[in-house]
Amino acid sequence: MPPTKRSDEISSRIGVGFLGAGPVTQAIHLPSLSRLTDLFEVTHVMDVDADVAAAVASRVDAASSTSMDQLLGDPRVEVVAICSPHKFHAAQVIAACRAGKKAVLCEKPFAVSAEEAAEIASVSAETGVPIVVGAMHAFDPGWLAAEKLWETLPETAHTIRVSVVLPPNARFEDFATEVIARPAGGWPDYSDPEVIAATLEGGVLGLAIHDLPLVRRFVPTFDDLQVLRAEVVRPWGYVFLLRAGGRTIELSASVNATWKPDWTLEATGPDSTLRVTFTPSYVQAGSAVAEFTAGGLTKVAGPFDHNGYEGEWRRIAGIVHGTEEAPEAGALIEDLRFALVTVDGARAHVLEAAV
Amino acid sequence: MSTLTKHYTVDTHSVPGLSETVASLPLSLAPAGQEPAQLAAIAGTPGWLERTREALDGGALAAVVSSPSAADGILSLPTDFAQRAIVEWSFASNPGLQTAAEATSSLRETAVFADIELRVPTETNFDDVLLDVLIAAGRVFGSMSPVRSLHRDKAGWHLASWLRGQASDVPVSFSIIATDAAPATLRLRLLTQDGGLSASVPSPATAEPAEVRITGPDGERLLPTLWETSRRVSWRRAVAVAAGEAVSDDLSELDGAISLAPKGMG
Repeated sequence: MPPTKRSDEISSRIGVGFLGAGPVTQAIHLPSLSRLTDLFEVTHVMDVDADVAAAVASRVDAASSTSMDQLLGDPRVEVVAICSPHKFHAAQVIAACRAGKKAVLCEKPFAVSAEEAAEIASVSAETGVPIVVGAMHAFDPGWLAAEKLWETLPETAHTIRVSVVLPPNARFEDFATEVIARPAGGWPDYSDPEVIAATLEGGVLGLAIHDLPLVRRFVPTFDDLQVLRAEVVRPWGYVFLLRAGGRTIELSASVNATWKPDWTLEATGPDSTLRVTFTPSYVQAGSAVAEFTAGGLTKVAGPFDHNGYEGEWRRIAGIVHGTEEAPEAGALIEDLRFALVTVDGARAHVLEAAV
Repeated sequence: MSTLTKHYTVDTHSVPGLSETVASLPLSLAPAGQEPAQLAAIAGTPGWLERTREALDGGALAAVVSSPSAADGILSLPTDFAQRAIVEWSFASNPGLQTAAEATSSLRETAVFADIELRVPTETNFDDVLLDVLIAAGRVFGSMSPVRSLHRDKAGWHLASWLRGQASDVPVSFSIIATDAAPATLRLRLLTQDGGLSASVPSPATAEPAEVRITGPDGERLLPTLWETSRRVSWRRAVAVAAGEAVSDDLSELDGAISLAPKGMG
């Protein structure tokens, strides 16, 4: 479908193209960008389903297509946002870099293997195209404020805990927007250890990964990572206990029918503790609140007026305008490797326990 | 005793901090002075079972054991003695947890996950506090499988179990975390298919109430807050036992908790 905007329209705003127009694009990024219309305009939406692409594009008066090449060939697309299924991420990030775009925002995980991640880093370095991974909590103003509060905690923390309790995604997608073409839901059958292992992998790469880059701030090394516990929480969720770099890491999640979300990260050391309470995904509910306690004194930061998704886009605008640094590719790769090592360890743990 | 001086005597020197409790129950308790105490205060350090037996054998009407360590032969205590032995736990005896325990009986069938976390000062001997955690978990979560130790070092102790009697596996996580950042506290959660219960129990040094919340499809409810320390509750129970108005089953519960704990306690 041809662009609905005049091709000679001059805009100082940054043009954004979306690869994939599912719930993440509809319920997260388009609402976020609607709050940043002074910085961005959505110029192109691609989806393999032409009707979905056209319908979503029409909401923002953008062009639509069913082909990545068409989107990458569109000169009005300056930043590519990759919101497709995980398995397509790496190839699409590389293609966007090679197309000479100004920046790439890729939903987490940005690759599903260390090899893919290394290839992405290589292409990013070769082309100079900055990559931002959509780990929104890392861009949340509440988290960024925590970094300024936490003193020596990254060096002294011995226990890191992330707990997530959420209603199914659809609940918050519906609070954020009206979603079309939502994937079918349902819960796994846990009688098969392979299903358990696959569920845990999905848990790490689909949910825990939001916070693993944050966890890694307190875990200096993870070559010695051990999975001491890896179990599913019904109907969907997980509980992990990890040891890495001398730290203990507890990750738990329960997605159930509750109406009350709770998303908390805590890092504790001998003299201080940090608690960051995040708002749920999808809704524009402002930032996390960070509480840092030492010696019985608690300092609180937040809430601030925007969440991590908006923070991602603000960062991208800064990168494109040259006022902010792009994330270092090596750190992104290590974040991903941390997730993949956890997945591998969890799988081995589950399958060994089943024998 | 007149109605204004109906009290039982206590040796306030036998357990640190007991004077405060006696002062808070002046119609029920009084310092024993030079006379043998009617209510025995027993420190829970090793040998507490023998000391309890001796106190009751020596005429004490009831004995309050503070944070007992693991011991063998608990069930060998005569029933009459066992029914007059009250265990005072720093956290599990908090009145808010009793409220939580009553509230969760209807939630356990739909439980999906449970966790309990105790934060204690650094240098705490984790063996000394694990039984408190297990008793609290047992009261709120219900029956559990034997607890496995996953990792232990000076910074913390992490353990795992399952809730028994559920249609499907319900993991339980236990954490004891050493930090001086803030006063000791116990937190626990029982998550269900559509909500659950959470409790935050403050340091036993304060009468600040535990905060217990139940979340369900209709909303969230803060259970009534009770401004009483674990110790005061325990001594009120001792008074009731001494008066023949109640019997204690605490030692049986303790023996059950010891049987769940990892062998050798780490």
